[in-house]
Amino acid sequence: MTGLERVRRAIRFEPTDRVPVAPLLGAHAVALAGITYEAASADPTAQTHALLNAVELYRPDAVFTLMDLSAEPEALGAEVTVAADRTRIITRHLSPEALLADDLERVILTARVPAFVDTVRRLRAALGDTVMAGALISGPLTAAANAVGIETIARMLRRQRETLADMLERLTKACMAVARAHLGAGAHGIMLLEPCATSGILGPDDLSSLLLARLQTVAEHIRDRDGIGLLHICGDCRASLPCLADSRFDVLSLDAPVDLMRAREVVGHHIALLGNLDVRHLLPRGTPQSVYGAATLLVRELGSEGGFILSGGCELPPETPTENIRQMFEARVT
Amino acid sequence: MSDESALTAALEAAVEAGDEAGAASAASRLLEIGAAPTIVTGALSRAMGRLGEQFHRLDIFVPDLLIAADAFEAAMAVVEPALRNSPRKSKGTIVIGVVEGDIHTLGKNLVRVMLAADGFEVYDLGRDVKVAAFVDAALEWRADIIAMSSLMTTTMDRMRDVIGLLVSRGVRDRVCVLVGGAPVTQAYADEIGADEYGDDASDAVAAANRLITMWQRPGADHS
Repeated sequence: MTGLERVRRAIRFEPTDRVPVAPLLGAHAVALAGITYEAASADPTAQTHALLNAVELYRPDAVFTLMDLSAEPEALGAEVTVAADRTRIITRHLSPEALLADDLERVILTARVPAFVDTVRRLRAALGDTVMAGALISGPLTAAANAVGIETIARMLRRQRETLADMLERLTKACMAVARAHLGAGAHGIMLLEPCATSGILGPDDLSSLLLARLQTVAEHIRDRDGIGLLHICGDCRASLPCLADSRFDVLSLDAPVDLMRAREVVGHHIALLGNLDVRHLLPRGTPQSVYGAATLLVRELGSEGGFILSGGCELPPETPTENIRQMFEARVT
Repeated sequence: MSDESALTAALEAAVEAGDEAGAASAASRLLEIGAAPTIVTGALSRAMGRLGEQFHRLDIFVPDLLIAADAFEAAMAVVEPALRNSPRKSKGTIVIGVVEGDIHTLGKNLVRVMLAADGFEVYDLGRDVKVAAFVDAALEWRADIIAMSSLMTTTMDRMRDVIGLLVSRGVRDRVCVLVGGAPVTQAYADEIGADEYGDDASDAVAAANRLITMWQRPGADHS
């Protein structure tokens, strides 16, 4: 069974030879290859080299592009600067009016976004169908929040709701354009990153009334093109789980604050789960034994009935020890 | 109900509804009828305290807290000139900022407002604050607490650097350190030697109060 087959079967709740393991290795892979984030997030050759090295080292069932939430906002016009540690940070936001333009579907495919599409093309060429090749892209709310600022978006939620709805509608179409570009380049799946949809920021009512239908549109767009749709939410989103279960994505990627066993009870078999070892402390700073213990617990509790992919709760930090990552792959066979 | 009681209730309701104009108007009217500035700040504190509890229970969310904070600040702008003539007794002094390399100010701004509403004197250093700037500001303002926020795993270690600088300058025992932000956990706070961790804006206020209580207890040594 190939990694891609294993992932496809798992998300259909069908038996697999073992639980698939698919950590978001991007930042770690780049560090391991001795490449700066700055270079990897602009140069498909460098990023592909780093990711293929990591695939060779760990043999994951899926590999995803580097997580870069500044790529789409930069394409939309936000100012992005290289920080002292060579990561990229957004240093000047756009006015909300800029996201009400008619050509966002074209503009969002500029700047560094094509470098990520090209990385997917190279990964697929190198890996074929042995490993799932996935692209990480910003969701409409997160693209809006990073482009104009989360405080602006939070105020618009209460004071300019119609304008925000219009903005999100346009960005939904733009996100679908990015997804299409990746799928056209050979991506097997798209992980839509919506960290700003976490419960603290977006309550269940706002999620349901303002974002859910748009997430469903993106999910169906991916599925219509035979892609695997994954939705990632950061932080504690327990209050929104019933709503997220209806997102129509194949997989819900959840962060460590959410108890995955409880999440399974809430979402049932509507959606597969991916996660959720703690990437803030356990994976970068825990012992190999503690990582193995936590991973084994997840595999034991969630792996028997399918619908589960073992991963971190978010992208692994660059400094995560190799031995800790190996323990995730050891746990999968128990 | 007296005019003062009615206006105080109106002020609290305006803040809780995120009504900036209503909050400023109620604060202004209270001062006009001769209410002490502390009547206004007391009402603001109660309203923000209730909102903090609701936020902690996930009954309300960041957008609700943010527009309430705007209303709070609109009312404070009205009352601050009067406060200069009859200053409140501050619970303690806090310098707050977002660490170097990070420009995400939402959480920090909410914590700043909640701390001010709870009676702390807060000096906001803004975003992308250099490690030394936290320490320099804390010493300049004789702060009781340095409060730091980070939204990114790539920048959170600047908190560790600030604590390291406090140690290397020999002033670690003069100031407490409170940390928070999305990637920050209690385990991380313990690891870097922070004194307290705030899980959200409401929790950060509770943590600051714990620190001040400990700081001001009889026999506490922080020369």
